[in-house]
Amino acid sequence: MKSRLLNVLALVTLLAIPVLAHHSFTMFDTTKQITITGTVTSFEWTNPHSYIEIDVPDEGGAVKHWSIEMGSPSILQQSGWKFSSLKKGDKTTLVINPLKTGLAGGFLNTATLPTGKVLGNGPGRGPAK
Amino acid sequence: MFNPLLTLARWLQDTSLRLDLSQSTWAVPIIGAIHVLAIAWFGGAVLVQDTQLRRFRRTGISILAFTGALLFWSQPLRLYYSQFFRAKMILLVMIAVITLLPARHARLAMAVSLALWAGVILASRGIAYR
Repeated sequence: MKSRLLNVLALVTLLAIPVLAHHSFTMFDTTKQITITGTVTSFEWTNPHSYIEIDVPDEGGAVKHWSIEMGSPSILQQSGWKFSSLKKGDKTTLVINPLKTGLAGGFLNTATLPTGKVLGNGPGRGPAK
Repeated sequence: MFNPLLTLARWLQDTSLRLDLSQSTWAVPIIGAIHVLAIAWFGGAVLVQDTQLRRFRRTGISILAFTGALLFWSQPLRLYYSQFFRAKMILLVMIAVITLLPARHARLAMAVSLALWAGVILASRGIAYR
């Protein structure tokens, strides 16, 4: 009896730790793609996710700040990214899946660097390395 | 109002170790993997009633605490605001209280403790998503 309880607990425990943690990407609308062009305010090369913070002017000239999420550094390296690929002040064009909430954020698909190079967001997203 | 936990999280966020940990390609994934391995190590050792395993348990919990502290250090502010992380910490405090209380109902205490540990692991998975 007691050992059966322990077996159940052990099973629950094992089921609970399938993989290492990343949050899911369900908050992004993968059926939509938009393109934004602006000036990088910071490039966060961090685990578990990296971010491009970018100021995007609209037709009227008003600037809106966007936070664009990417994979982990190890994932991005597979698309040719480096920690130094973008820096503050760089002009870049990003193709993204926007947030479902409509807030100014999204998940990167491809980025056009100031050098003209186009980089994806890990295997399966954007051009291969 | 002074909030010591938030103050600590803010201070950790601004340390160079936070940057080194989170900007390293493999530091966080490797530390995370060791953390999970230590869960199995420690979990396996607590399920067996054997005083011989005491050192085994101690090693396991030490590795858990050390790697856990480093993982927290890699993203202190995000974790401070994570509801699942808060739940996990509260559960750990409850486990500590149960463990330190005089063992009057040993079997009951063990069952409750195991259930709380299961909660800790479930909450840990949740941290990845919120």
